[in-house]
Amino acid sequence: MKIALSAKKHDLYNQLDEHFGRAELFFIYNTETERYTEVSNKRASSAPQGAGIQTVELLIRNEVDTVVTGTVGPKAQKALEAAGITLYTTKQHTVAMALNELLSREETIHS
Amino acid sequence: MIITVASGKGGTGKTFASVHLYAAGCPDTFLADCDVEEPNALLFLQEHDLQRRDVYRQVPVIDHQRCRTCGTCSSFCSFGSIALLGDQVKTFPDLCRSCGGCTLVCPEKAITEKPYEVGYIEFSEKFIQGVLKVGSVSVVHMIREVISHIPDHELIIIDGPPGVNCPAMAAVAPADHVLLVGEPTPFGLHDITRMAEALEELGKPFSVLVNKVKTTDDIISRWCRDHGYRNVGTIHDDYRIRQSCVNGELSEAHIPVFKQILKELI
Repeated sequence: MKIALSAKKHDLYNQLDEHFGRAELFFIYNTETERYTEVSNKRASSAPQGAGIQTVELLIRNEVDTVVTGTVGPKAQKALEAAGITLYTTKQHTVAMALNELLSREETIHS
Repeated sequence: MIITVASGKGGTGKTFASVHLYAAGCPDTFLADCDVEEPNALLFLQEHDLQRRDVYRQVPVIDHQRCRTCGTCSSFCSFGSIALLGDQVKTFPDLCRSCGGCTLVCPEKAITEKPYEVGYIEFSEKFIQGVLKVGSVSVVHMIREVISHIPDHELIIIDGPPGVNCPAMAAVAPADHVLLVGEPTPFGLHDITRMAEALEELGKPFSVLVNKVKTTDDIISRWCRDHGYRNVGTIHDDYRIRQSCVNGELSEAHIPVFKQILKELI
């Protein structure tokens, strides 16, 4: 499974971006390899309109299954649903904390 | 004669100036509120029984039977209003600018257009306003719709939107003269400078009304002097103006100022 997390800086221990469409970049964590990569969301985040939808397209290109972020607008939500990407919203401050929260939650569900 | 009231910065007193120009004008004066994202000139007018007409524009409809999800339409759309999401194409009509491009590029001819409501216009014999639906981006479309419904009158006042952008240009397009309302703050000066540059580029004649003046030598008047721009009036910061605005009333004491401005402009 691939998990995308919205981030403000190139640092897992830095702030999670609470805005989905306007996030600078995404960390994509692969639960099988337990490795992560970074993808820039520059194009969507600086778009005059429709940033959330373009961000969903970026996630689709990167074959993301679940996205972790703060808040998502109505259009992006509709796009995520259409793309079949699971949305997980969190109030955690850092990317790493948000990822841990999701992973431990998944563990509880699956055990 | 058509006078558009503009400013660049918001909150400098465009609507204040527009409704007072309207009140100070000849009996055959018409007012058009083109600040379609937040029209509020009506608050000052005694206009009842306005006629209402919905405003539509064309947006794409996908025939999912024909669509092969090739993504040509979504990569063509500059506004992100069509997205290829996995194995389906979704449209977001609120983002659409009705260019019709998607219908032309689709290799399967799977896209047609249908009318989509973007807001409405309301009008009487002396007044019109456009009201854009919340979330719609069709600002310019709505402003042009309002302007196209303005009947012939001796004097037409257009209350423009804030900004120095496409909507503001759409509102100044039909004007014979533009009245810039300047607020003597650094932000106000910055924006009115950009507006003046845009109008010079367009070759639109304009003059300046300085509003909310607190000092004897304000920065907007100085800017007018330095650049040789025509300063047609100064309105001092006055709590009675704020009071009358809050009550939705005209400031009777200021009508003569606007009569004088009209005399200079016409």
